Amino acid sequence: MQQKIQQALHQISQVVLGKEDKIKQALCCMFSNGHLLIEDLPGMGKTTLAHALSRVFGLSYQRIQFTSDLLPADVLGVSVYSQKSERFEFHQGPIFSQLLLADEINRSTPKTQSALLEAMEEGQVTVDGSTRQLPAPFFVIATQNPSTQTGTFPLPESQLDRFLMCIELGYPDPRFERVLLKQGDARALIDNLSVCISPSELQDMQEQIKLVQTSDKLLDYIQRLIAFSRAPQRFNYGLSPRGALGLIACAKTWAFMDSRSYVVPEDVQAVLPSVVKHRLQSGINASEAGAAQSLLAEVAVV
Amino acid sequence: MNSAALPRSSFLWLLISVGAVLLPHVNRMPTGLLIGYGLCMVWRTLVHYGKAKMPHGLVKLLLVIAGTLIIRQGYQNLLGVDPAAAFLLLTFVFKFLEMQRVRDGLLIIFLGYFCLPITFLFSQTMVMTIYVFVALVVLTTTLVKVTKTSDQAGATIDLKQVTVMLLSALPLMLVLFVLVPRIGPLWSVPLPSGQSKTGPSDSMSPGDIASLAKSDELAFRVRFDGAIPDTRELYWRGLVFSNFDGRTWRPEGTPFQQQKNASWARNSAHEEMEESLDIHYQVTFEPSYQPWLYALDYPLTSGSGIGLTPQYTLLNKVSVDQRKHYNLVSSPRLMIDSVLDPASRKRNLLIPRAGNSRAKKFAIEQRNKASSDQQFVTDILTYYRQKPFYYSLKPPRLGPDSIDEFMFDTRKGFCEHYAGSFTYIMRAAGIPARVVVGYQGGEINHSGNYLLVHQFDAHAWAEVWLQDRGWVRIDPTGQVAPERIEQGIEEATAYENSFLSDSTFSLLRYRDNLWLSQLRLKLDAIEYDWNRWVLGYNAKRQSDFLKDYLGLVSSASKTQLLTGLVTLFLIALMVVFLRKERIKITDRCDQLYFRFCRLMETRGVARGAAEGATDFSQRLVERFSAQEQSIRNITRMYNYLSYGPDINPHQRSRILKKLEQEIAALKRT
Repeated sequence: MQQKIQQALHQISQVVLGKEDKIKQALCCMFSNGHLLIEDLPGMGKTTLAHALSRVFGLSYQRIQFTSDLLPADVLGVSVYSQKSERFEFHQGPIFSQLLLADEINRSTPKTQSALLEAMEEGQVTVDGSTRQLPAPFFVIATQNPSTQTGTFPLPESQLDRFLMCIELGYPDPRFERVLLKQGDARALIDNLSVCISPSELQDMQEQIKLVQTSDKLLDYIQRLIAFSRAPQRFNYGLSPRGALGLIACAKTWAFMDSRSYVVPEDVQAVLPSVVKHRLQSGINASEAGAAQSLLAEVAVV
Repeated sequence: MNSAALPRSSFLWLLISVGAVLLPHVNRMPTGLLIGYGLCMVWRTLVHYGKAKMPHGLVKLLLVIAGTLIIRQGYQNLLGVDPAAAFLLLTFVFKFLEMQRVRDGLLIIFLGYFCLPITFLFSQTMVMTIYVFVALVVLTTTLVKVTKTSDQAGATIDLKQVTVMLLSALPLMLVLFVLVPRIGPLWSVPLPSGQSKTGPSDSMSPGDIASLAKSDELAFRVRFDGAIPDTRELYWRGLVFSNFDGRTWRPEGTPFQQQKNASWARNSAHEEMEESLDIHYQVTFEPSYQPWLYALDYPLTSGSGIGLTPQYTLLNKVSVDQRKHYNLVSSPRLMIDSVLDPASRKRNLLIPRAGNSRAKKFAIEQRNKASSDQQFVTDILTYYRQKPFYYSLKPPRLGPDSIDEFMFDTRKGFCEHYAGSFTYIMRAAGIPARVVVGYQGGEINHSGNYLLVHQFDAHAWAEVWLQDRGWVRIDPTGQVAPERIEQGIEEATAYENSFLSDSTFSLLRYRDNLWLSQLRLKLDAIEYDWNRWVLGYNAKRQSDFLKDYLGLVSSASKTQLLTGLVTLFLIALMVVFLRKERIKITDRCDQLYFRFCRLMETRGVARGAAEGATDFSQRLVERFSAQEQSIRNITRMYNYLSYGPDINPHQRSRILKKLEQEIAALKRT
């Protein structure tokens, strides 16, 4: 099983160069059955990563480019009157897919954002009074431009909380950038990627991950982390219980990917920055990246 | 962090702190120095608002020199408590002037903690103690302000926090105060110099006591074991004057001779006397900077360090520079000097040959008319009563023949005029007589059931020696102004409204106002208890307290041992309390792992508290590649035991044993 994960990692690394740790985080998020938010400048390989992920998992893939005039119906689908059958027929929107790439989610209006985010949480959509199940597994990978750029509607904290992880890709290493410049656009290569993990295997893995052990001592550590994040004057908001659950889920996956049947503090430390990045609003003085770092640096392991 | 710039919000607090430390000293400092202090504070404030620059190094040097010179000028001396205190405060203010960083701010606070108790060298009243507590709160709040990086909590929250902090230390302070063995000071601080002497001096000229009577200062407080005797009987003798030079009365012998003649042993001459008439009382004597003490007629016992002179006055070994407590027994019926030795007799009959001729003639005429010495005394007293004598705080000035002028011309005088002239006439008629100076009467404080004696209660009276009766107290003032003896000086001078006329703000001046008077006496009662129980809490009082309230009847050393043990117990408790912060390691697995961490620390690689075992092992392996296997094993076992699945205890103890062995093996390499 771990071999397959390695294989998937390797495959994606061929199209997203030099970002193995980020890819591993993204995989971890998917194995933990969570939605992923990728936050970075345009042109950093966000879409490529999402596309590659859908390929290696063999998932049906849809992409929506969010713009400021996108309406909820454009995401969810719309009922259209059919003259042939003489009644309204529902035309599914792009959300009816296994992996949805919501590109530049913060460029759309809050109304459309919330239509998507509701679907993410419930796994179903309700249009015209009838509820329709979304396919399983259902993942959303959303990308977001830094909110300082023009034409953005920042996602509110409550909606950011729906994403299990938030990662940044960042500029590639000079070494990998050289390779990238030599080989040209990687998009053509995506179609060559083979499916490594089928949806049913993914489900198996998720079942196994649930069996990973978390000892009392580890839960102590996690509770210390949570308590620290909630201490007054540190951060504007502490970690929510949902955030804490997400932290444990990701740490379990990380341990599983490391072929271990129990979680050690290093697993928690590995996933913590991605899990808390968008949840912790740090105090006035510290930068946001500093929030996770200060958590890791100041909370004792034992 | 200490080298960071001082938070701007803390400046005002620092300014207030410095002011709070300086305030109690303000009325004791030379004006030049006060101006200097103020200048430094204003300068630094201007710097804070960007209106002035920090002083240059040379300027600072000049300031130090100028300050030292001002102190030298103001106190005439650089040694002694006053100039030393002024100098310390000067350095404190200079530090404030040059403060820039957090480190300086902290130094100011710590210096403030040190400088604040200096004020106790000069004043130990309860009000001052409360003030020091308030100043402590201010200083500690400033400490919080200086060390805080952000301004999230307001000043009131800090103030509240600090107050709660200091108040919660109060119980411990009380326990320590009550229980810690009272050991005498290892060194003594020289007392503030330049204090003016108070109370009667060692000579008496006309007008001396009248000027004393203008002071409302407290002389001493007395607590009686029984009922407070009648005011008319409260004659507090302090000095006996036998030598007269025509104007001034002086005691016999030099101060050194007086010390030598006094008996310093515990006197027990009164054993044959009737004990029931004895008066037992405790005196709390305010510092007078003079050696004599006061006692009711006639003191019998003398405590340690107190001598009893042949004239039945009390002498302290050294001048009384600190508040003094002493216990006394007085016997009002005691007959003193039933036989007068010829030398004393001669001394108490001496009058200058020249001057006061009218008085001499008058005395001899009157004596010839009288049938006996006793009758003569009565005749003279009658003379005082019948002729138009006035009791006055503002007697006219007298010329060289002061007795003549007073007796026959001015006839207006204060007690020393009456006592002096009476004694002179007795001596002129051949009856041994002397002047006694002390206090008469006092004010009863009902709320504390004790007696207050003020400087304005100062009084002079006479003693004559009569056959078979010894020395007899005669108070001629009582003939002229009986209300002085019965009700005090205020009533006696009511007709001329001269009582405390110079001190408008003296609460004592408003004794008529019932409410004010009660308030004043209440406050005084509190102050008295403060003196007795807090300032006067010595080893003896401590052992009494422990005996009375805690039922510890034992020798002093046993008590001290016990209090020492209690103190140790409290300190131990405190240590335990402070250590609670540390996380206790009970898990055997953690204990072993920490042993491993300590071992690695001694070899140069320390684990951070937030570092997991695996990460730590990575770093270790980089450094100690030879022990790689061992390090990895230990880490794996530790991780398995700590975070792995639940295993049965037998298995667990087996792995623990292996872990221990592995660590031991690693230690040997």
